Amino acid sequence: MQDKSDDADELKARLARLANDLQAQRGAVDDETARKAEADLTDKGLGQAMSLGFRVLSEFVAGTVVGAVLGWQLDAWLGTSPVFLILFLGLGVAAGFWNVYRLAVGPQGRRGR
Amino acid sequence: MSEAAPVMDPIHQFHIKVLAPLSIGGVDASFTNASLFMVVILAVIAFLMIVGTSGEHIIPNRLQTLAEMAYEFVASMIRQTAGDAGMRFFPFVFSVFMFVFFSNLIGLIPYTFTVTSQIIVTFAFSATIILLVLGYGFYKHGTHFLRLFVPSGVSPLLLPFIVLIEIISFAARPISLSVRLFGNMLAGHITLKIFGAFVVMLAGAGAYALLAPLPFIGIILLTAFELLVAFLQAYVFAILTCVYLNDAIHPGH
Repeated sequence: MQDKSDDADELKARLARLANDLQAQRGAVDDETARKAEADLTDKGLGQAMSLGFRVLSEFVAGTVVGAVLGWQLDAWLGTSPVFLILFLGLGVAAGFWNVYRLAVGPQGRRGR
Repeated sequence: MSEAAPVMDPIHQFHIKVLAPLSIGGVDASFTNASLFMVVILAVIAFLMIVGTSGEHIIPNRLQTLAEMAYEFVASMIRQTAGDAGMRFFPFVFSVFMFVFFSNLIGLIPYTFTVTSQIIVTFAFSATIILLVLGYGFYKHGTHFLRLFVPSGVSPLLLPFIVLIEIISFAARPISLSVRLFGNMLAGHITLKIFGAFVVMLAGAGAYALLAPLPFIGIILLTAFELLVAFLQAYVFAILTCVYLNDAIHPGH
């Protein structure tokens, strides 16, 4: 009888220790993957920087071009040249800047969420 | 002059040649060199995935490792950007990534044709992606999906402008997505071709032939760089697909 309760206590202690170890292990692994992801984001060097630059460029140009085309077509449709062209060109430039801004703050915003 | 023209014409590599003329109901559906290389790309991907996953060894061989790496890479990319809900789009994103990646890669081999250097190909991809985003967004969220264009916490005075700007920036997505991939591929291949022409011209220019190795070294470095660009552009294309799909899955941020 005495033996059995000793066994149970020992088993409980071992379980607790195992749970602790597992927790620690998991924490370490999580830390490592987080650090690795961070390194992946910052550590690709020239290629990464160039592709980011290209992204900024294409987002900005695409915003402007889409705005201009929208305004131009609205003008052609409504016969109000050049009111909408000017308006939508301005909006397109704003959209381009907005895209670039979002690109710049994007990762932090996502992390905060 | 006519002999020199192919060397000096960096655009020549992008010409579409009809291999087997075909016309369906007045629409030109000829089998061209572009179609041929699309078939080649599909065959390579199919070979990699089918043979790579057929063995199911516990200790994977090379092909299986490649196939598993591709799967893990795309799966973790989707989970990071679009969450677990994005995994239902895994087949789509994986197909897009593999096709773009292999077409960039195969295009780097001399005498091949780069499918992604044709704007119509990249635009067809990005238009499909945006249509999928719109379709899934409206199907899943109904008119609630339009909240995507109405950010929260904006003063009512500015709201109409912000909504217009958001709509324009959404409409710019397929264009920026397609032009980026197309531009990178086009510019890279033209640069390689021009450097190649430099080598030939310098080698045939008497004493200047001593300088010919310089652009040749440039080609070697550029090819390595283009290899990186090929991967990065496929990666950017796929990750933006995930980001846009994330908008369709969770609109209104």
